[in-house]
Amino acid sequence: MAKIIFNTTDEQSLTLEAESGSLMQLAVDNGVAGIDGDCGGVCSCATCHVFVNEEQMALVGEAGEIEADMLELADNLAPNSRLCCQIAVSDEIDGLIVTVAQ
Amino acid sequence: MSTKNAYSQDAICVIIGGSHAGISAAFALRTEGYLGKIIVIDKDLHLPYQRPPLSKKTLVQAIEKGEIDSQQIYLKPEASYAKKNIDLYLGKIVTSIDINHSRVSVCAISQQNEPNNEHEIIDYTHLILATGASAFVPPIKLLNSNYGIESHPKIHTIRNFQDIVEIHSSLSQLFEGNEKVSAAIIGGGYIGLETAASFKQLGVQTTVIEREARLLARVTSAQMSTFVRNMHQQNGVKIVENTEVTHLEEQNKRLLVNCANGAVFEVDIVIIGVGVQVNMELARAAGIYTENGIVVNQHNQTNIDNIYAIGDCSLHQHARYPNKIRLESVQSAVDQAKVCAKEICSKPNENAALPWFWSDQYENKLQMVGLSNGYNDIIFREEAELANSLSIWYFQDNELLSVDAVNNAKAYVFATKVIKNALQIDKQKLIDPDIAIGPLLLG
Repeated sequence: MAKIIFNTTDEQSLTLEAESGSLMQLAVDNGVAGIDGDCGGVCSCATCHVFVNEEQMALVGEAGEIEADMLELADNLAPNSRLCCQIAVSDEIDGLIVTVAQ
Repeated sequence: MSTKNAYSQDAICVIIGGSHAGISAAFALRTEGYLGKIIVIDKDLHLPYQRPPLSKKTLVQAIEKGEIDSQQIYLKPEASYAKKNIDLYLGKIVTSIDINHSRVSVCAISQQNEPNNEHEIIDYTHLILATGASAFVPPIKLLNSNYGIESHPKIHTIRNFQDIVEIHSSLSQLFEGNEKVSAAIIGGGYIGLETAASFKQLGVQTTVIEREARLLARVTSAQMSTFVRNMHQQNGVKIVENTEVTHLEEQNKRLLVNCANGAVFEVDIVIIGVGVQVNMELARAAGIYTENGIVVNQHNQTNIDNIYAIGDCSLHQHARYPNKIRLESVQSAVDQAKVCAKEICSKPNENAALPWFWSDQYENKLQMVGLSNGYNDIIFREEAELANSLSIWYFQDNELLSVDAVNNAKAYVFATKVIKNALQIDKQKLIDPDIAIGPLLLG
């Protein structure tokens, strides 16, 4: 079981738990504001943009090639940007803190 | 005329259709501050779900895992409806809309899809039609069978969750008794091709039968069609074009697919994916103006006050295009829902979002942005370093209208920026695949 902390732009902080699935699915299942996941998690829409806590970037790694290209569509792209449909939930990312980009 | 508005606690917004459009509208209304009651009505008993995965991941996983994980495709978790005070009326249909008295008549439907006789009348302040479209079943005869084409247990369409349940059931039975299972897919559009890719992944011998001279004839260029045909042939799917199915016939528990040119395909299961028909009978019967869709303006308003139409069913005015358009896409459904919610809540809005689409087939990612209608020049690009990739650029003179990209997210993203910002591309540079996609291509 991994605990993930989502900070939203309306200054809420939600701690959510899951064993598997994607970070996007976890956010959508719990109604995290700003994570839409319109394409259902196939890296086609860029509506699940988050900033990963910089100190924890090593836990999730950088965006893959397609994801990095899709992130170019985001207005506020940063080095710690990720599309969270491409981050798998596992024990290895327990304690991860992400900030929703919009 | 009612004095109630979005900010009256006794206002009621009725949304017909728990689709991507309908559910997005319900939640967008809350985001915009709608204070009244919100009721979403859908005949489907399932909690509202996403349709795009049905022909892809949901279908493949259903067979591979032996069960269908519906939770994975729910648009919103069940609790979020209560949290946002959105009432779901599932397993119910609207039988009529009374535009003079602003009310709808609702009744439950039985398992056989028959409406029962107990009608509930709901008075609405705002009515949103998100009725979508249904899989079109062409008038093909089915011979030598006790079933009709729509009820035959081995003939399916793909539009609803129930369709996947039935295909799962058919295929599971077939896999039990046979070494090889074969399928004919009638229609080489996106649904047919996505299903072909899923079937192939499941080990089903698959033939796609297309009436037109090429696959995806209605939606893309000949170059793209050729690429897609090669992609499917390389994956072992048989593609038959220029071939119209005339009738089906049951023979020894198998199905014969007979074609006008004399070709006959003997298969175990048939999928019909020849397109959709817009669900607009209810609107038309109520006196709401329809053409090839429910006609709305740039704010998704119909010709009747306080009645709106969104999603696949709407023929809508769009800021980017001179003629009204009807789009079958998630992006369009979501963006129209947001526009409509803003309009109801008296906030500035307009349909102006750039259309985009996607399709996943095998390991290939197809991404389309813009609409190519009216193009008079086309540039075809293959990147040397990207395997199996392609991008097709549609221009009207020097203006980029749209791009189809296969396994080339760079091209898709760059094109999106070019079209959104009305930038100029130097076509001579675009033709040269040694010049990387990016700002260097700008004229």
